[in-house]
Amino acid sequence: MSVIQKEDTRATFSPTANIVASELEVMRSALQQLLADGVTELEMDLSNVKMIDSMGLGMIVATHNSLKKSTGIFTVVHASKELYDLFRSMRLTQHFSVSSD
Amino acid sequence: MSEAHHSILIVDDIPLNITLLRAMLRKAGYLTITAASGREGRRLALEQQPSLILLDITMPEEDGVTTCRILKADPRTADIPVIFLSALSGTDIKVTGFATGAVDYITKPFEREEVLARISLHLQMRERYVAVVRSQDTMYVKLNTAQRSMLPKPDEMPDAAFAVHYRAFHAAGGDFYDVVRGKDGCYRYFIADISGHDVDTSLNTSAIKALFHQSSTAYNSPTEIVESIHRGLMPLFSTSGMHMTGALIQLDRQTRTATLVNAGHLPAIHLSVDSHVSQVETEGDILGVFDELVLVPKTFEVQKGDRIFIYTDGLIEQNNLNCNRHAGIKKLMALCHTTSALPLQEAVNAISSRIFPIDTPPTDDIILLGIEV
Repeated sequence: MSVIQKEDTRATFSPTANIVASELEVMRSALQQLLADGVTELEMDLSNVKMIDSMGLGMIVATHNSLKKSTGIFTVVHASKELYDLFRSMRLTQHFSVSSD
Repeated sequence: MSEAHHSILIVDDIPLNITLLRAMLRKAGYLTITAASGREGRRLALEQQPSLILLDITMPEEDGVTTCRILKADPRTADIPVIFLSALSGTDIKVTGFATGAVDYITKPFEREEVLARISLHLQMRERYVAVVRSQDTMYVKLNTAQRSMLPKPDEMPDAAFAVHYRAFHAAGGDFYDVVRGKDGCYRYFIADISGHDVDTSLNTSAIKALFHQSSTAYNSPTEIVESIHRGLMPLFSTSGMHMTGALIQLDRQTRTATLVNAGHLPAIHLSVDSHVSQVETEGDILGVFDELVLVPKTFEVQKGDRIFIYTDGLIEQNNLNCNRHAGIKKLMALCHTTSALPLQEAVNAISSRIFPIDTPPTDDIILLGIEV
């Protein structure tokens, strides 16, 4: 489902499946565990993600909000052009850093 | 329920196995269907909807694990319980079998009583499952009826001159629209998409309708209306991880101006009376999530006979797993143009059915709302 690399308070979360409703339970629980373990700098690597549905966006926004509350940093990297456009059209790029390939 | 009401599909490439199982099941009172290959088994499962499938694993061409995986991936056969019946007894193959969605695994050679007991157990479990699903369906139908009753019909508000196509993915949907006439004579058309499709999502639509009506007074600008909805949603959404996108069009037919407030939603489409089609784009945050809300309203001129279309992402992203919204919007714009000579409701119906035929089940909620100036 996802590859996780963690070092102290920094982690990279790389989903290996699309971020859609059917995949969310496992992804959400992994993200919550990272935050519970004290991660304050979280990078989401979308190299292997082609699609994010509205529930998936909700999970991403909730992760960002949780980190923001604890003055942490959330970033999205390696988004495809279509996914970058999706983040931009919803103005999410104004709330956290999103970089495209 | 007696065994006679149940049909068991036996899939095995060895005729002797089929003969033995069929005789045993018939003696116990079950109806039987037989298939000599995985492919034939899938066809019969689809056509005859058996109560349960006994599936051999080692078969030429298509093995039982593959057959089971395909059956479980198809919503039309996914709920039929599958029991593997195989001479393979290794733990790995059993784990693989369960991972594909099988409910049980029986190793050959088998005892007659054991097979019948397990079949009986899984049929009882399926009956209980079906009863729960039916009761949920009844609840969803009630919810759907309540939800639809909240949505205004075009013929109830002829002065608003709008037409709509609405389809919910589940019986209870997360998409929502509403139309309100302000005291200033302007009409406000609102379309929204709440993340998710479950009961919680659909229950929120009544709260959004109340917020929209409450704030749609003559003294509130379109931006203030959306801000008001946002503030009302914050306590509902902040702990649930939900969010909502929305587009509000305020149309002043006196001054021939329209104002769009877009909260993370898709661009509106403007079809002018001379058949020019354009996107109306403007920025805005999604609703119910961020403390600070930024909305940038956009006002544009319209003429008598112009049309404005607002819609939810289900319309342009159906069967579009690459999430290519750009291509979906271009297609929608082309259809708005080609249907411009039709009356508004006919145009809306034609656009919707061309993008997504009515006999194809949707994978998301769909709303297309057309407004005529």
